[in-house]
Amino acid sequence: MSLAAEAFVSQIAGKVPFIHVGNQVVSELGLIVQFTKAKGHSLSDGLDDVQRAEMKAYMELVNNMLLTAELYIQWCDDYTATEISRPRYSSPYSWPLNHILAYQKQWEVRRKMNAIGWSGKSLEQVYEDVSQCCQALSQRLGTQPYFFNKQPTELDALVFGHLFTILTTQLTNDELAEKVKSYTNLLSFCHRIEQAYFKEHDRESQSGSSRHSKGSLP
Amino acid sequence: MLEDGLLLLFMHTNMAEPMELLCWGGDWDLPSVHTDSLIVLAYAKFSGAALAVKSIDWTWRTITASVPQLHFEGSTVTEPTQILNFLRKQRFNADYELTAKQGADTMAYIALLEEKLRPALLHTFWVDAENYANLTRPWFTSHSPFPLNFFVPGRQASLALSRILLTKAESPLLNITEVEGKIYSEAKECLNLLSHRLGNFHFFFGDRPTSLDAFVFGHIAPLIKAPLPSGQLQKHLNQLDNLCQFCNTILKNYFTDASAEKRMDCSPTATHDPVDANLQKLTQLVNKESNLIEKMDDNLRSSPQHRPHRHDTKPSAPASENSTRA
Repeated sequence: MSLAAEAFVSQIAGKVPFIHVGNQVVSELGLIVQFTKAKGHSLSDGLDDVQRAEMKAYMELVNNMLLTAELYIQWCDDYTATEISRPRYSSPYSWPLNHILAYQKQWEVRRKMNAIGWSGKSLEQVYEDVSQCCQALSQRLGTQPYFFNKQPTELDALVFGHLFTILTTQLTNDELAEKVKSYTNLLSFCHRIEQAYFKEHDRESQSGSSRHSKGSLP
Repeated sequence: MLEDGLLLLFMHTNMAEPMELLCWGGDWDLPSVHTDSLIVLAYAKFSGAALAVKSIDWTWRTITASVPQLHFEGSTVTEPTQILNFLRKQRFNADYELTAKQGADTMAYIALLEEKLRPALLHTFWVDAENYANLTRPWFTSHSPFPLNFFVPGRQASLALSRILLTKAESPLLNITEVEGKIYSEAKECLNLLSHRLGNFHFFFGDRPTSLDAFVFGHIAPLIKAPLPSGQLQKHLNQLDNLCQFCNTILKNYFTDASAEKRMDCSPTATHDPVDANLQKLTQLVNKESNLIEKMDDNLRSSPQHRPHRHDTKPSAPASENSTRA
């Protein structure tokens, strides 16, 4: 699907990612997980109640810290917003829609940061929060292959998604990626999943990698 | 025990400059009605930090201060997480026995509380029309000075609503009624998860309360104790016995002095000195022991091998201790 069409559909469906099955469109990770579970594929069936509680808690930690930090760095840091985020967000649209939508998105994100109390934070504090979150994830992962030992669960997918994005998206400086890389077990976790599940996709996308993505992990 | 003794000694030598905490006042058997204030108060009790607690009720600070606020040697710290970090740096650490993994779990569960439970709590107290009109607004109005009582509750309510909408109402859910269903079901799920995790233990990490216990207590205590006219979340929580027990245990073990002193203040012969508080503690210990003895008594009675002469001597002990209670 071309970039413009994707952006168009995401405006309608509400959120990327989404999956398209027949004539149903399901967006957002939580709903996609429920949808696939209803179709008979679930990753967390083997967990008991306490483990499921832990998994949900860690997923919220990732959402709370990593997702918010990513949004903050993209939209509340003036330099990054101007150089990277606004141009990238507005690229599918023509003038003047691109300016309007980009500024609107920035305003929305800043309002949200204000409501949850992140607007008072400096960039260093945000990096520190990401580092603490990675430390918690690293301690939880330990030397295991996946967070709940041998089988990957939704948490592994979520963590991989965020860490992969942080490690491969080119920003104005590499401090965030360096912080993540300092946790070696998280880095090898990402490599492992990339090798195991995305090898074929990587070979296809190498030729068509976008300006702001390095393609595969360094 | 040795660490507790050393800690007390350390505190006594530093008594000249106590740390001062500003927070909302208490009601409904709680030391404070405000979640964030409760978190800090509970953590201070768990870690043995002596705080001079000042309530901001009936002062201008109800509108200017961001509560809770800790003052110490000229510096000010706000936000529960920052205050707890500050207390840990001052060597009041309730988490020193946790492993690295348990520390990571703490962060994760706190994030769960903030994301899943907090929006529904805000809604229950500040956005639900019946609760707001009959409980929350009258309470905060009566605890704010004139003319702030016209502004304070309204401002809190609109902050709560905007926070819920901005964080939870992503398209296609665009207005508050659609969001309500989502946030309440997430909150109920969160409470269930907490109940599963707590199980039959007294606290989340064994026998000693930690910062996670403080956070959970701060969130669920107002929900359990407030006399809410319309409380679907409260009803759900009341079904989770272990969480209610958890809350009551903390109140009984760490906060009875505060509520007992309040009750003593109301009585005409109130003398607010520590001797009476110690007497209260002693009486409570004696009552606990007598309860234990009664339980042992019942067990013996119900056991098939009991001998008649053994429990003749027992009833006299609790009877005499019951008379000293009055």
